[in-house]
Amino acid sequence: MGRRRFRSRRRRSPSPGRRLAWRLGLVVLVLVSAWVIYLDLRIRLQFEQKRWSLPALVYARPLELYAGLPLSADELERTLRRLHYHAVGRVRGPGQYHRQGRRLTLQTRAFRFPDGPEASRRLRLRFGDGRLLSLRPADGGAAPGLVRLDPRRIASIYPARKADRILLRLDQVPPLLVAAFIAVEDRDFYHHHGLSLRGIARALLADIRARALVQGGSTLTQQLVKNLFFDNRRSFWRKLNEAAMALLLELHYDKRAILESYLNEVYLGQDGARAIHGVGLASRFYFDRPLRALRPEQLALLVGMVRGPSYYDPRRHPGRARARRNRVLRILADQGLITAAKARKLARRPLGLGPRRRQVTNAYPGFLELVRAQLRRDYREQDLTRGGLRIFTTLDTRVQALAMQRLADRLRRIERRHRLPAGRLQGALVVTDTGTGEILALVPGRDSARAGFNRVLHARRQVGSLLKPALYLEALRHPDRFTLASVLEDRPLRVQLDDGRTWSPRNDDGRFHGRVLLYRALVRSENVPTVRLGLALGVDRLVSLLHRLGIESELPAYPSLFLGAANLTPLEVTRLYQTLAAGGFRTPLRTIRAVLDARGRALRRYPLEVKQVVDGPVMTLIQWTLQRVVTEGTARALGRRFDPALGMAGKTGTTNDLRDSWFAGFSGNRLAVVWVGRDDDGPMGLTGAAGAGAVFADLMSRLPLEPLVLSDQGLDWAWIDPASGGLAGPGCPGRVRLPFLAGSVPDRRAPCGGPATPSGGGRRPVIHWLQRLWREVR
Amino acid sequence: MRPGFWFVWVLALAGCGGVPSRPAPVVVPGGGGGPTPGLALPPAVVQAPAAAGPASGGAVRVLVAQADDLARAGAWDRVAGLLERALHLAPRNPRLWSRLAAVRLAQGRYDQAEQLARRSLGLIRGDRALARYDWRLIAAAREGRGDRRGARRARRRAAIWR
Repeated sequence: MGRRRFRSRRRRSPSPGRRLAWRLGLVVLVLVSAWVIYLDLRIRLQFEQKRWSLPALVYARPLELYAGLPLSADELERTLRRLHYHAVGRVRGPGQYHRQGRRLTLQTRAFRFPDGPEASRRLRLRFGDGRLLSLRPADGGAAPGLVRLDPRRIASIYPARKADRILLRLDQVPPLLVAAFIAVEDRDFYHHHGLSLRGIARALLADIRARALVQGGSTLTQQLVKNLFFDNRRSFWRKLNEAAMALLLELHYDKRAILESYLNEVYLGQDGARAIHGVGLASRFYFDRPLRALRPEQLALLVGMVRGPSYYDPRRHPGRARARRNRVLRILADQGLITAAKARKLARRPLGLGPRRRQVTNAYPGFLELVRAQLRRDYREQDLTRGGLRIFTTLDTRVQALAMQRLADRLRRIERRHRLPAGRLQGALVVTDTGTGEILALVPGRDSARAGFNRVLHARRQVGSLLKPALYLEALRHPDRFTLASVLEDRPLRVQLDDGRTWSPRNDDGRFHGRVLLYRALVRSENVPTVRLGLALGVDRLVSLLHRLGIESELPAYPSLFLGAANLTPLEVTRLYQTLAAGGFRTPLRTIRAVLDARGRALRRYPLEVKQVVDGPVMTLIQWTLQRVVTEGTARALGRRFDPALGMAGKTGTTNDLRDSWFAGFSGNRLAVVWVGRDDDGPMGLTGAAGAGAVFADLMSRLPLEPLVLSDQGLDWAWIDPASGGLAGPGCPGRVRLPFLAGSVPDRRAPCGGPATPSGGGRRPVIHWLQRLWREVR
Repeated sequence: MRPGFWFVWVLALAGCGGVPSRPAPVVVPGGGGGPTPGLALPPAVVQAPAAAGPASGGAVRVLVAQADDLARAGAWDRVAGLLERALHLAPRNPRLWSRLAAVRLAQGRYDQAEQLARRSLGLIRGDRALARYDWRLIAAAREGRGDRRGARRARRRAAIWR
């Protein structure tokens, strides 16, 4: 008993050494458990997140094909190449085309747009006279009328790690590729729990036999862990962690999920700073084809490259890559995945690489800055870089390319002609759709492909005469005081300023013209009559109207504002002219049409919204006057470059010492605002018409334009004597036919006499009261 | 879908697309959602096809036809998307603006419905039937907002365009 008690006492109180060992063991156990729990947490948190972590993709406006579209076969072919379509002898599938002179056969790719899916179609196109003459289905049948190509991806918004991906579901991956990965990298994949002793043993054996490192012992799971969580450093600790995490990963996820992740994560090369992860992206990068279109030997090459993507880089080391590929083909034959005969046949084929494309992650940084500003208002940064959003923008890459090219080209020519040092001039321009307010092109500077100072958004420059139309608009809103036929004094003027100084505005030509009709003062951009008109109306009215028309910046409420003494960005000027071009309807400028989530559901739409800020008929008077600017006024030189039937309207802007040259103009469907100047604000000796106007004409004359046909609602027309502003008979020299708000035709007859016809062939006076009603109802 | 939207769309079809329609009284939605007595409209007038630019006319017609199909399913957001595409091709076609106005009316977005109808009015050249249609649409939008006096004024304006 005593002995037993003694023994049990001994068991309860072991020697100090063993006690220490026990405690140490316990501590180690706790530490290891904590470590495992930590790893487990990390795996579960990060695996899901990283598994579907995708950059937001930004798309340009798609090219819409229809009979009559102004588009040459060359232009279409350029567009198709940018969209990675392949020229082939015979069109067999989506993304292929075949051209024979003016005929082109094409199979479009299916694509899901925000307003619905667009199916893949095989089409025969015929071109002539710079137009698409017809498009017909290749298999006969009715002409589709309108077909959209898949849109060009212009940017990806990445998370901090600069990695692009094309995520694929397991069922989108060719079965041969999956089988080949397993055969070559991890034969026991379906049987192990993350680690494979047999795999390690076999790798060792193979290495010994070949007296080199020919096989690695890592399972696919271990490789996935390595790709997901670790960099490329090798250490014992990392190996240990990797093994533990592989086991944990297998515990939480099934083989399919692990395989799918592996295929999307596997590292397959480097494109400059961009890492090529995943078989989807690698297929694009090496073969310029989607994965499902790859041939078996191309799949074998991808599998072979995993062992050393830079060592086996098929572009840099085609010999090595080919040997490796053929080795993989032999393994596939050994495993019974293909026949030996087929393996031998495939081994004779070339590598089948696609052309290396300069992958542009952000081709239009200026435009994208505006897109991102809009997105930041509506989304959190992490949603942009993780959710795989698809952002459909308004950018028209054809208009954008033309705008970039025309601006750079014209600036070079101006520098040569004016003997300015090359590169001295800068410029910026914006093109919008007058109807929808969508921004079609945004050129932030001369070298617009490079990210840099975005002049469209940030360069605040004096706008000069660009503000004059707003002042005249304010005047015409009061038909009892002003009409286009009002006579303005053009004589020397002294304005007493608040600070006691006096200001004497002068016209650009330095002369005074006595009396001038209101519309001519604007058409010729005369300064003195403009200031007189402004003083009669008051600067506060102008400020308030400019804000309603779309200017958001604070404006200096001094008389100098009548002549445009305000610093605005080209984007703000665009807002102002958008409202003028849209007939007094304010339309927010838009860069985004819709945002879809990764599954193609619409997250958010940015619908067209309009708000009337000025009555239609008054706006028509201003549009009519701006058309005269182009036909007979300060912009008549560039006006000669347009078909008069287009009714192009515009306004020049030139500031003191010719520092800034502006032009804003619009047809029925397109508005363009151009600024040319120096970044250091130095003088350059160019008027609005000579600098910015020339760029405007270069660009707009190459765009498909619709005419600006003015509405006849609420207007009367009358012949006016330019000397007196009174109604002119046929005998009056140089009489002009002017539009008036209904009921505001002057009743005064001109002294040049003759029987006056108030309506001048226009409207019957009987319905004037109806027309007046028009303006009453708001 | 609210009751009565259908009729608005039918009105838009007849007024803007050149689709023949049988003369029948058409009712537009009132503020409470149901058809309001006194808002019965005379039949819309059959119009010639929209005078779009020579190049884009066919494409605009295709888009409008697609929009009509979707309108039957009440997929107004997608209808609006198609009409915006058409407007990109022909921004000065007042009929397209009228249709978009009808979509907003159907969605109960009365402010935009009125603004878009006004946009259409500003582009009309001599098309009295379309002007009448736009004013009726404005009247219905104001009715929807609960602005009865404004609706009456708009109906008077519509009557001018007989």
